[in-house]
Amino acid sequence: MNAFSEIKLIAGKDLRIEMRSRILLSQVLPFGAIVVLLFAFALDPDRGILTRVAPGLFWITVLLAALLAIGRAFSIEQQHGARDGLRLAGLDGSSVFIGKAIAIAVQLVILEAVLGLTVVVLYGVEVHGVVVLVATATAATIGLAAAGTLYGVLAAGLRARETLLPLLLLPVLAPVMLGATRAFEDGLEGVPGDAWPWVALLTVFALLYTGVGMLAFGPLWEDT
Amino acid sequence: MTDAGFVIASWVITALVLGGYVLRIALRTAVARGEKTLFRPDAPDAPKAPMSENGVHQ
Amino acid sequence: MSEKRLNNDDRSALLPRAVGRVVDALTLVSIGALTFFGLWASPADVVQGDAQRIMYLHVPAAWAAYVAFGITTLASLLWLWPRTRSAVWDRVAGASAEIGLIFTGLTLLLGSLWGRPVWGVWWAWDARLVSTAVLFFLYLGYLAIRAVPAEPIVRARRSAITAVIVFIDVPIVHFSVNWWRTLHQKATVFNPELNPEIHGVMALTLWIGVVAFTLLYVSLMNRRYQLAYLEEGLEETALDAAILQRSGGVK
Repeated sequence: MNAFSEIKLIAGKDLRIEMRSRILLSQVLPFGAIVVLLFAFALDPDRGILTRVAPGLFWITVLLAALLAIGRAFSIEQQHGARDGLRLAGLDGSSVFIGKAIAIAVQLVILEAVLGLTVVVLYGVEVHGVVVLVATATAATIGLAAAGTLYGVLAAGLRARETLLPLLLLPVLAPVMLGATRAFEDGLEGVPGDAWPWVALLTVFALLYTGVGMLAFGPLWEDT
Repeated sequence: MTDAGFVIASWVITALVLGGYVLRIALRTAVARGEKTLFRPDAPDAPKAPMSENGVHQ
Repeated sequence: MSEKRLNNDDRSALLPRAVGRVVDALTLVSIGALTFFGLWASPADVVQGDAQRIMYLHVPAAWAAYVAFGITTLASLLWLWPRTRSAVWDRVAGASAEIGLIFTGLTLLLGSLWGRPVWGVWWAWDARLVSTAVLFFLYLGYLAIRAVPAEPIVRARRSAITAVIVFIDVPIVHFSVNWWRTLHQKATVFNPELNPEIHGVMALTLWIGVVAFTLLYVSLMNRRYQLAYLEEGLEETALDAAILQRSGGVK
């Protein structure tokens, strides 16, 4: 089996599982929406604060929801001997990595689209600089998915995985949080041109973690 | 607090943190060597805590 | 039993006992010298006053933290490379990370104690402090992974890979945080002088601090490594005892 079909196999499997169980739609998305709502309770909606900090709040919500999605991506492997089945299938570690990362990325895109709409509506955000926003979200999502899949496999199968994954992943994602928020701020309220250096940073992050993930996923997966 | 107070506090806190860490290592080392036990098993026929008959020598 | 350990070139201690004692002595002497110079022999700063003396601890602590995490990464790479793989590197990596975490926490604390008299605040979103805070959590995560019980080789491999992927994040964090705060500096009112030009006795004192904390690092590593070795032995003994008990074997 060549790498491309292996990747398609894994990504397809993960997405199919999600389509059938609809955990993303019925649980993770509502979680994100509630967080968006709660921020309004925390910050006075009448004083324009929400609109100003909307980029940051959006990305924090995406980050938190991503933790759930990533945890889910690996907990499905714990059931019905899926782990052993995958290993016996003799698939290449880097292909499994890319496949799982793609599935996570697709789910994140859906999440970002819906949460983005929610934020725009609830926080009264005016959307400009769409090109910048899309470029930022693309780079950030790839980085999120890559780093998330890597740390997800690290925590997978460990008893403390629900608490370990956030502890491990959130500090690592600090640059993504920084870059994505700054780029969104520039795109929405500032000079969209200013955002491109941040997009570059996000791209570097995404490439780096994709590369590292392809190398490290295999051995980590074997050890779970 | 005066500036000098902050300075003294810094030295004291540094000493406490580092000294505390050294002590912690020393304590755990002594436990590992079997020189101290952290607990005593209740039942008389319970297996002896490996630490107390530990034969790990330097 | 010994197959569970990677027995290429195992050692129960990092330094020979005599060397260890010398290092300990030198550490104490240099800390004494640092205290003497830091608190007494060096003059108070023109701008910051006596509070500047806290830098004589804060900067060396930060230095020691970076050394420690660097060693963790190096040791992890050496473990991952098959030809140099040895339990020694695994223990070094773990010990160094724990020590690094202590120094990082200390750096943050001291930064706060310095910031209060000089800036008037217990915390400022200065690039270096923020990066150090993220570093703290990165290595906290590394140690959390190390703490997960597993077969020694599995744990060593998992930890080594974690150390490397964590380390890769460090320059990105530094760069992005620095960039962020420099962009922001246009708006700040004060200009935090974390690295003023220093000369004479003050520079000497800082160097003494760096030397003292480096020696302290070595001293702590020696102890912490030995502890790691002993506790590994305990794990094996406990495991063997448990097996023996369950199999009702001969004592």
